[in-house]
Amino acid sequence: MPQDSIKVYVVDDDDSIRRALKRLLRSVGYHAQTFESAEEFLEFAPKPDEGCLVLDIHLPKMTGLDLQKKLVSKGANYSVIFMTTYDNPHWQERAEKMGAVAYLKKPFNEQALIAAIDQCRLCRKERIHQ
Amino acid sequence: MKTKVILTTLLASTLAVILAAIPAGAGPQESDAMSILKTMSDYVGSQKTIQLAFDSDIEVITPQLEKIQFTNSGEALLNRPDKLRAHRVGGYSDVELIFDGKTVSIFGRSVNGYAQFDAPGTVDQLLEALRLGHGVALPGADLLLSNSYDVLIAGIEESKHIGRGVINGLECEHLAFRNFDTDWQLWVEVGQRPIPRKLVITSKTLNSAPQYTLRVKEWKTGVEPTPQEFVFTPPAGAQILDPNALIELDELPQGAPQGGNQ
Repeated sequence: MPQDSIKVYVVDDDDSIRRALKRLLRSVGYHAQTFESAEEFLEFAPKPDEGCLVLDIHLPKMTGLDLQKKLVSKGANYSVIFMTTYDNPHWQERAEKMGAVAYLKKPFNEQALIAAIDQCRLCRKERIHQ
Repeated sequence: MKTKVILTTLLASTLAVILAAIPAGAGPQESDAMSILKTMSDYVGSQKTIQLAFDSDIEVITPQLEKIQFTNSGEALLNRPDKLRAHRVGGYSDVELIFDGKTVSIFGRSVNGYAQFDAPGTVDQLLEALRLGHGVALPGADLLLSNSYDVLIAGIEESKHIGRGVINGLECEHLAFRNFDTDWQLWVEVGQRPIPRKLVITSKTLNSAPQYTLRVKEWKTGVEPTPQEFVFTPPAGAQILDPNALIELDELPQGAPQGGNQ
């Protein structure tokens, strides 16, 4: 699996969640970079602004949904996977309208996240070949 | 009817066994848990030097839903406010961190490479900078902070004093805390030296709820380290690593665990 063909960024305010996801992704061969907040991601996000963004909705200041909106308005090309503990149909609808690849309700299966990232990788591949 | 009687008897017996296993007066006691946590934090924060040895376990769930545990051992020497030396060795990495109050050096023995960053300030500030800016995971390091109580209580939604347990033959207070996305448990030594003996962090984001476990095997205070112990001298032939390569010094291997089939 050419996992190195896509960069994965995880934004979650919980330190141990960031570690757990980083380890999970590492165990299947993905290199993941983690961020504690939307603001930190905006400050440190590497260029080019593309790849797979695994984004917690419930962040302390700027929410995950607001971050996605900001990135879309800047023309960034991230494939976004949302994670949330709260089941809010409005959030899901909003995320899907903005093109989210997946909307994962915590707790979720490891395979669901890996499958969503694989889908991001395929989407990117298709974009490159278009 | 007979089945119902047997079932009722069985339930009653089970309940009796469960109740017998719970020590008297060990019900959920939130204030006790916070007070023990504060006592530990105050004690640890008041120690100028700490030398410790630890074992740690990290669980990873493979895409095939197999739970694999990776094990490491290590030691640390802390000299407040601004000196730290820590070493961790496992099956996939052998990493040393040296901080002299100005520069932090992270040396990967297995790759004979190191990365260095300017980090003028205290050990508390260093740990925060490493976590945020470089993604270097130091789980359990929060316990050594001079104000660990303030950091640890952030985000706690529920706390319990479960009772007592024994770690390495030492009686400990067993505390359990619930945060939004994680549960964590802490065992604090009973007596004059309320030090952390075991930490378990359970991630609730993933269905398999992987855990990180840290056990403190040895703990010494009052040691007098020499300044030389916090100086990093790169070994001959050591390469300077790209900061992005620090992930290669993690506690588990890149890629799914292989092993041989039986």
